[in-house]
Amino acid sequence: MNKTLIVAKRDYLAAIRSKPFLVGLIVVPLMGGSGFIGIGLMKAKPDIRERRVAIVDRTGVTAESIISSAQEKNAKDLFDKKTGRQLTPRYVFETIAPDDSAPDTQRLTLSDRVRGHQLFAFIEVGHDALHPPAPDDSGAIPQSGRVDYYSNAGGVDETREWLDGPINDGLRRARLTKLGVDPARFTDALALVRVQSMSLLSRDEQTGAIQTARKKSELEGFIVPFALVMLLFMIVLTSSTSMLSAVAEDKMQRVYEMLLASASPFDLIMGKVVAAVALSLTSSVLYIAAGLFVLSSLALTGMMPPSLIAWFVIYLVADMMVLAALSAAMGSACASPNDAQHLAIVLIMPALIPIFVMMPVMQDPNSTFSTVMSLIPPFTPILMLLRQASPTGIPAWQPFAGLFGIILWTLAVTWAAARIFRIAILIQGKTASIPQLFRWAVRG
Amino acid sequence: MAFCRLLFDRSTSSGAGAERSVLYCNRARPLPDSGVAEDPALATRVRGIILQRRFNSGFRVAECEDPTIKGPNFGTHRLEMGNWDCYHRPMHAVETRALTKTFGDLTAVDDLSLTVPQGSVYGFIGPNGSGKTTTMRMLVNIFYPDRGSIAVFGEDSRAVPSGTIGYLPEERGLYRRMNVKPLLEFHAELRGGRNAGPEIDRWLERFGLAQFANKRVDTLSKGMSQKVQFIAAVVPEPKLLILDEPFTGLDPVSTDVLRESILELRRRGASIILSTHDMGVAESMCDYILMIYRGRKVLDGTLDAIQEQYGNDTLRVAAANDDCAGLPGVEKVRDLGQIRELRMTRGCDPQDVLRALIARTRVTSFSVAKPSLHDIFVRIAGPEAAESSPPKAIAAQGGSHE
Repeated sequence: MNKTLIVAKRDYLAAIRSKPFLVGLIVVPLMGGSGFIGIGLMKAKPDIRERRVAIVDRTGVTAESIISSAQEKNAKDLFDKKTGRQLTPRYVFETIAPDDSAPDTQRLTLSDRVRGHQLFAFIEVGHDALHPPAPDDSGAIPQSGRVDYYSNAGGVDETREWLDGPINDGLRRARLTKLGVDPARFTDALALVRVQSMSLLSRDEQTGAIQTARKKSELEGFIVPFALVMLLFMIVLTSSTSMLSAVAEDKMQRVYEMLLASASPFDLIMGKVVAAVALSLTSSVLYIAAGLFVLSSLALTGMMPPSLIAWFVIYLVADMMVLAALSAAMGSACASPNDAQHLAIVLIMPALIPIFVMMPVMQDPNSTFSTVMSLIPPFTPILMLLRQASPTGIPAWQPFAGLFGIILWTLAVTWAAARIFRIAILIQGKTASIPQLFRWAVRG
Repeated sequence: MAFCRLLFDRSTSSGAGAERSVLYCNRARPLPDSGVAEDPALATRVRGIILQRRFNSGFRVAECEDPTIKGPNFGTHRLEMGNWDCYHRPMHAVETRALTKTFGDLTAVDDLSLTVPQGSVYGFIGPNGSGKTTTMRMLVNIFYPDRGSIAVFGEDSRAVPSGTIGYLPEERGLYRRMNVKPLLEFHAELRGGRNAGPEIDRWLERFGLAQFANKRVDTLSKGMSQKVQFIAAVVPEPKLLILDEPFTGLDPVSTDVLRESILELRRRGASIILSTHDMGVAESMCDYILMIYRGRKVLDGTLDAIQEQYGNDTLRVAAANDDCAGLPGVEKVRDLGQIRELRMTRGCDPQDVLRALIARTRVTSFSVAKPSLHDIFVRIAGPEAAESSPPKAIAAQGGSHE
């Protein structure tokens, strides 16, 4: 058997029987899915306590319309139509007469009531809110033309979002009333029409028939790309950092000198890389199978086409090869497992860059920024996969261009890593600096 | 000057044994694709075809086989090589030329040439940090020399299959979480050994480790681990075994078992290179001894040949009075407890020393001897030598194996 495969087989079997791998199998989806679990828990047990909101109406004619619209929304959203279970908090309102002589004093008094939990929030409808003036040169609208919302809630405030509809609806009703429109026609006049997101049409290459567009859901645009990318990221990161520690530990135990007499550094490092790739494929097969099972049980299998899974595997292998080779090289340069922990940060930081730019790429997968970032080899596995998984799709040549870049990048990194490994693995007592690693990679 | 080296099977030219031999051709010109060479040493014509050629540090290396033995297909491009200046030498287990290795400003090994004959036990001695381990690492391709060349059984060491050489490093280390037998199978497989199970079982039995075959390495004592690592080095059985301080840390019983195992491998045809700080081991086990000091070769030859260079300049004395200092013609006294070792100055007559000694005290034993290896080692690498100029290489006359 090829020496690389002999080393790979040993490392794979040793790792797959170890506790860290089994623990990692459980931890990775927990880490990746912790956000969804939190949201799920909140949905399962929502906060349905009553929320009191005060309205200071400086127009004098809007408060009643806002309250009326909010009560209609309350009636519509409050209970689950099938189970009758309350889903959202009930909003109740009190109207406060505006004090034009000392507005700030009045705002302070209301703020104190919010702090004292007598109110959840208060809103102030500006004097000119019915006919807001044009923004000034800086784009700002004067306070008199706005509706200000005051609360003690955090950055994500669902009450403000909930009130957005009734406030605007109330303002429109007040405007229509002033125009003399019959209140009985308000519902018809203000009816909202849903804007449905659809995929683009295409022609079937075999039959020539036009393939009709399909409805795209928000879920599809977010969940699948996000889940795949996080899975890839978590698997690669946990595998490579654990490999870094393992190589450093084996170096401390002096196991490599005897192996180097039987196999070349390249055989050893490639064996380790192949084992790491095989391990990551093992765990990803389990996760993907679980994911497909869930999707099929929800009749959503179409959200994850086979081609996407194939690309996921390609990117996983490529990313794993690069990071495993780097981990082995960096592990070989460590004087102790503790040093490996410090070097792991250096390894993780570049891997985090694609995660930082995920949101803009998801929002516009075909922007210049998204395209360029996804064609930079170290970022290609995560960002190209993210773009491919988005419902809008990307030009067919781009994944292949990205793949070409990754292959070159992987070869270059593995070659450099083998050079570092060969020099560093027998040096004891001193951890190499990052510039030193670069020198070893370049000069050999 | 470029050397051309043709390898051929001795049996094809002389009919004596199957040992591969070497033809050295010192013409600095490209080697032809094939040819017929005269071998003056054997007075035979050696016909050979070059199978492969390699270029290594200025050496032009080629390998040929005799077409009359190996098959008729080699004859089509034959060239007459009678005008080449060729000579024959037996092929050695290891042959290095001008081996040099530096680490930054430190020259760890400096211009080291050595020859290890096949089937011999070849001992490396030298102080700590003198370059023994670096030399061994170069022999097994862990380090590559900055200059010079290494031939193992006549081939460039980088082209030698890993199963040919067994290596026990000075720094012991095994995968601690693996079981003993799977670990040994892994090492054997890595060195090209298939189905090594029975061979591993025999070695485990021999070292009294059979009951630990399915135990994890981290449950073994240090001595046991060392024996396991020795087994990893000798399975599958290598033609060349390189052992870096193999006896360090072993109890006397384990030392005897290991010594007997090494000698048995030698009896079965293996060539052994070992390093040791135990001069007793070097004297009793090694056919040839090489001493490295500050990266340079300072001794090389058989023990007899090395001792012969110093002559009978040592007196071993047992006397009632401990005081041997100040005797005429004695430059150094070494107290070994029951006896004292006196080193005489050049030209000193032992009879004069004996007379002076008898005048001082009652002498119970007096003998003239060659210096021990320990004494020679200290003379070269002791504090007195450390203050002197860099050591010169001493070629062992008479015992040369070149």
